Amino acid sequence: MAIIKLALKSLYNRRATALLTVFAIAVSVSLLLGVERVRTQAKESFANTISGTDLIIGARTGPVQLLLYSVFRIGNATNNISWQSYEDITKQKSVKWSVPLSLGDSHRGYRVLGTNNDYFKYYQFGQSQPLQFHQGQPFNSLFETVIGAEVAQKLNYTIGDKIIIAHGAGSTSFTKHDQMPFTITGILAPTSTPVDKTVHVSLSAIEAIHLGWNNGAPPVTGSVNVSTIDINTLKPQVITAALVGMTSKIRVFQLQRMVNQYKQEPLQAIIPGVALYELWSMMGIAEQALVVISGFVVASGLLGMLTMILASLNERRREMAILRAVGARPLQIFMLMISEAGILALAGALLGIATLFSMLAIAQPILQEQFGILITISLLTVYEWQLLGLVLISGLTIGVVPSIRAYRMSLADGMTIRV
Amino acid sequence: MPIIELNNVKYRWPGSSNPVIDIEHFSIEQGDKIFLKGPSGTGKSTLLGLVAGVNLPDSGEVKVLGHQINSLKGRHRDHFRADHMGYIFQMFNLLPYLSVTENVCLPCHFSKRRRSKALAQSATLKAEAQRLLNDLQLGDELIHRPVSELSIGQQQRVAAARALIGQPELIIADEPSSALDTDARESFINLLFQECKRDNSTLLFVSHDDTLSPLFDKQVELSKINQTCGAL
Repeated sequence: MAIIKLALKSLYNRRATALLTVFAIAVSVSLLLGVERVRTQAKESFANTISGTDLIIGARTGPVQLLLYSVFRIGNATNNISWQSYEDITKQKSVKWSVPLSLGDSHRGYRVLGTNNDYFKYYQFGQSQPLQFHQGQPFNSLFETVIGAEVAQKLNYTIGDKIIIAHGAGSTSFTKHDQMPFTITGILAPTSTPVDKTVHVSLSAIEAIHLGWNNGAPPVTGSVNVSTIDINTLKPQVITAALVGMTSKIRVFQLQRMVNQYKQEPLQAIIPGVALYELWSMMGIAEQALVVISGFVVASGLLGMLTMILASLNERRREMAILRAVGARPLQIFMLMISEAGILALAGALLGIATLFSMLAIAQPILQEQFGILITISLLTVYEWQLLGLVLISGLTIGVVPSIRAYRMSLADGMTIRV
Repeated sequence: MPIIELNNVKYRWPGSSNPVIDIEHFSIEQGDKIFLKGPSGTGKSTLLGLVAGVNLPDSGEVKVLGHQINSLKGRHRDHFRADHMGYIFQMFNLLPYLSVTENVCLPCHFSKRRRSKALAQSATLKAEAQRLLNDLQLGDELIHRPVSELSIGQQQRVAAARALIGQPELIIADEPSSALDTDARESFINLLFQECKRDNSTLLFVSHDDTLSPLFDKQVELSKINQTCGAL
């Protein structure tokens, strides 16, 4: 106990260098834990976005791209599926349910998804959790909309509010479908998936707001009369993608083959889990590089500590002689040095944890907003504790080097003061 | 019973063929104030290392308080030193990161015996340290200063208080006054005598400075007892 007190006081006496060492370790520890946390949680957040869907069908691109634009609302579709093909494929007996998705418009930066009410019935996320309405109900007539939790919260919308949809996916758009405002009929409960950031309307509504558009150019003012739109004539021509649920898992591959070999137009069907895995293995190298780099940063932090302790050794030979003279054993000199290393490593680790949590608190909204990755600020996991333990053990192990030197010095010098 | 007794002690530094210490017999009686005179290079510090149990003789026996310390194990020698000896260096005696009183109390953290003896004198270790410091004419105002702000003479008196706390039987002083000027030297030695007398401690005072020797009960010349010096 007396030894640890001595170590603390000695470190306090050299607090400038000791603090720098602690900061170096803290930065490295927070980087290590931060990388680990973002890595695992991003994976989890991605994997939790879609569940219960057996196949995603879209135009032929790559599996990852289809997954990204249809589920994560990242990027845009290069091509569409005709409604005819969609109906043709989904009338198969093995198809239990299907949900059409139509993307391309936005509301103040939030993507607008054209779909039908089956979406609220069949879309699942996390561990097979269905979507739930926080308030209101699904859309029933043409100009009604259901918004995600984040849209409602950020834009301060409630049931009954009217919103205008803009053409294109940007957050600022010069062409707005402003003669056709939508009334909010429902607000979904938060899901921590891109659903929260989506404005849902019916497929017919998507058709309605694009009436009179020609080759991507808006209609001439006054050419479309809103009051005369007949809901029955609004048959969608194309959709962006479709989610499909199967009656049995064995049929998934059958339908996938059928879609991939579909003669009428180039389509593809992907299994969400497989595409997620593919997406993840693409990021795997970067991810591993980050882990390795953060490991090296920890090593350099600890080496900095070793340098600091070793550099102080020579000027502390006098101190050791004094301690030997008052009765300290060489083993106690060893303990003094090693507890200094331990204290530095421990302080570094604790400060690192504090840094981690403050960084997470700052980064959390940014990650959620920019990348749709939800990082929960939770207590340290067992694995993170193990990492911390490893840092401490490494610190102590490195501390053995100067401690053995000090031990040898104190044996050799005895009480001779060498300056 | 002599407090220190050396018989046929030989010591050579590792790797050297000639012994630095070759003493047939040397003893000190309890309560004595001994002046051990020796110019530098005659093995003074080595002899003190042998007495303190930090160095081990190649042959012969070193007895302190009747214990043959050269046959004790390392940790027992350290323990023995902590319990029974107070040591004052030539200079730089204090740990810069401890306060004056913490420096004085240091031996009590390594020796239970000295701790309980100190607590028998005063209510707390701190009070005992202050009592000793006051006896050595360091006022309360100086006690609360950082160690590095004290003059060398003041630092040596703090070192003396540290050697004296818990009343060890033997005080070893290795040229403790050589960094002091003449006036400070005499007053330092007188204060040391006074405290040693009070506790009935034996004082082994090593110096190359002859002018101090009349102040002591007994004078020993290292070159007379150490046979290697004659051969040089």
